[in-house]
Amino acid sequence: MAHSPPRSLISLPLLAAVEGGAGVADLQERLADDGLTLRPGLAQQLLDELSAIGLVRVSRGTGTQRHYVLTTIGRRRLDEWRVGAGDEMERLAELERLRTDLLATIAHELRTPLTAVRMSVGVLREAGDRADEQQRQTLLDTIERNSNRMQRLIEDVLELSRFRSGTVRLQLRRFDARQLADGAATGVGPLIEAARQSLELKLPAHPVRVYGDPRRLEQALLNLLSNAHKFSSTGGRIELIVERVADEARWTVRDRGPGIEPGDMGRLFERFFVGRSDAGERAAGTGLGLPTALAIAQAHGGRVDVDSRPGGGSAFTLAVPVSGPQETSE
Amino acid sequence: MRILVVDDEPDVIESVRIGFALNWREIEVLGAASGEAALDTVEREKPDIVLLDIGLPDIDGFEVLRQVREFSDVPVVMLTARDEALEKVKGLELGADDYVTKPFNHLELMARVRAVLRRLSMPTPVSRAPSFQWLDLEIDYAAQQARLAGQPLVLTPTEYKLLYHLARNQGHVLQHSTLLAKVWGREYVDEVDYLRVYVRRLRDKLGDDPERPRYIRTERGLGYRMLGP
Repeated sequence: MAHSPPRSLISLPLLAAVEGGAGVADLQERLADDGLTLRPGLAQQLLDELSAIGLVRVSRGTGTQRHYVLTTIGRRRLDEWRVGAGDEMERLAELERLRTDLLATIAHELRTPLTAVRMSVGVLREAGDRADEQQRQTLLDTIERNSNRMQRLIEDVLELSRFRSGTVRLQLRRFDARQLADGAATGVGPLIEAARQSLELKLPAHPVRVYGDPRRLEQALLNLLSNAHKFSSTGGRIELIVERVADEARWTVRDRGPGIEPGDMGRLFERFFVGRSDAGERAAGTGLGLPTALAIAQAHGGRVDVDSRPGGGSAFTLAVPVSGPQETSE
Repeated sequence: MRILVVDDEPDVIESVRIGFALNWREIEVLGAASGEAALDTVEREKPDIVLLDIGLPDIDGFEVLRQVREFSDVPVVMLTARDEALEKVKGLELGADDYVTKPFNHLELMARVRAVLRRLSMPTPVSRAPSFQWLDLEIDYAAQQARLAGQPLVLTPTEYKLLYHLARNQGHVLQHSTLLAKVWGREYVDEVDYLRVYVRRLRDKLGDDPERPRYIRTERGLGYRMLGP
């Protein structure tokens, strides 16, 4: 197996050099200590590659000033490599596998809705005149639902990779965390109603003022709410609690669903990881909701906390500093 | 006739259902959204053919296939969103009859289902030639039975057909496409993987070493040949 020189640099030392946070200059410096000389362009390219496969993400800065940290997966991979006895070739193969897996997963995620669309279009074209009104309607609904799903998937993938590569420009302004909760609750309302679930808002009496990107934070909160909906049974209860704790605004979404298996806990924020659910069909998500919510929180210098146990429901908390993203760094 | 569609995407099942309802009325479509449900339905409803997705939420499709094969030889067509030769071979080795890659449309799907049903109902070839004998291998064409060193060989219908055509053309190379057309049907002339999997199985049963074959020789890039005097 032959690897070109830049490729062979994507390895344990490279990932280890990002540990604790690094920009292009840090990376050059740290790798120089290991006896590797990198041009700035190559260092940037390596960071881009690591971010594309989800092992690092931008923590702050733009353009050439971007500063990177390890993602949860990157951290775990590094730890595994350090304890693991695997040789360098194995690590390279593992990285190659991550890259291929990501592409294959995206293709896979698109192919299923595309199958439903192609089937439906084919049937309509071929036998549309023989179809009754209800069959035609079902096929048209299928086409609409699945093409929407593909579009959403593509947008989610792009949005997430923009966050990871640090090319997102947050639209910062001041807003009330309670209003954000209201907006997200309205957004998820139809889904909740359709499943005869209830959503209870617990809002503080006074405004919780936050400096952040309300559109993106609402998206993050919507993702959490939509997960709670998916993993709750018909008629289930969901709570959305807004509070200010010290310098943080927190939105907590609590459901009484099946909870999360301990074994799944570590994979929650991986792209395309989809948990199991008793709710059956409703649980078919893209597996991008949580990673995206986390990326949005992190871009604000915040985080997403999870509290769950099997059979005991789950609570996801989106927490960001009220004073905005620039106050914090890794 | 009943077909079981196993896919965790209800829209796929529904569009297949309407497709068959409008184009192939004799077929009733059953659906299952998980591996467990699939195993249940195969056992309880005994469908005539199963379309089985590999990416299921609970048990993966290969495992479902393995478990189905423990109690049923219903024809199984694997549905997969990954166009990888490895997956195809894995499915065939576990006993799948065919393979369709997503995204398919209803014409492709129906053609595959037709081909599988036709292949399975194709009569096993019978020859007027009395029998075949070479080294330890004997084939009694009338009884459709093969023996190795006097012991009966347990062959699936497809394996028998393959062996039959090789034996009937002893000493001659049969091209991949010729064998595929004779054993699987004309739509399959490009599916060399199918042939490889079945030749490997036959060789296992014959105890034949592909490097130093006594029976089936690989003619690289061409096909296979039954060795002879």
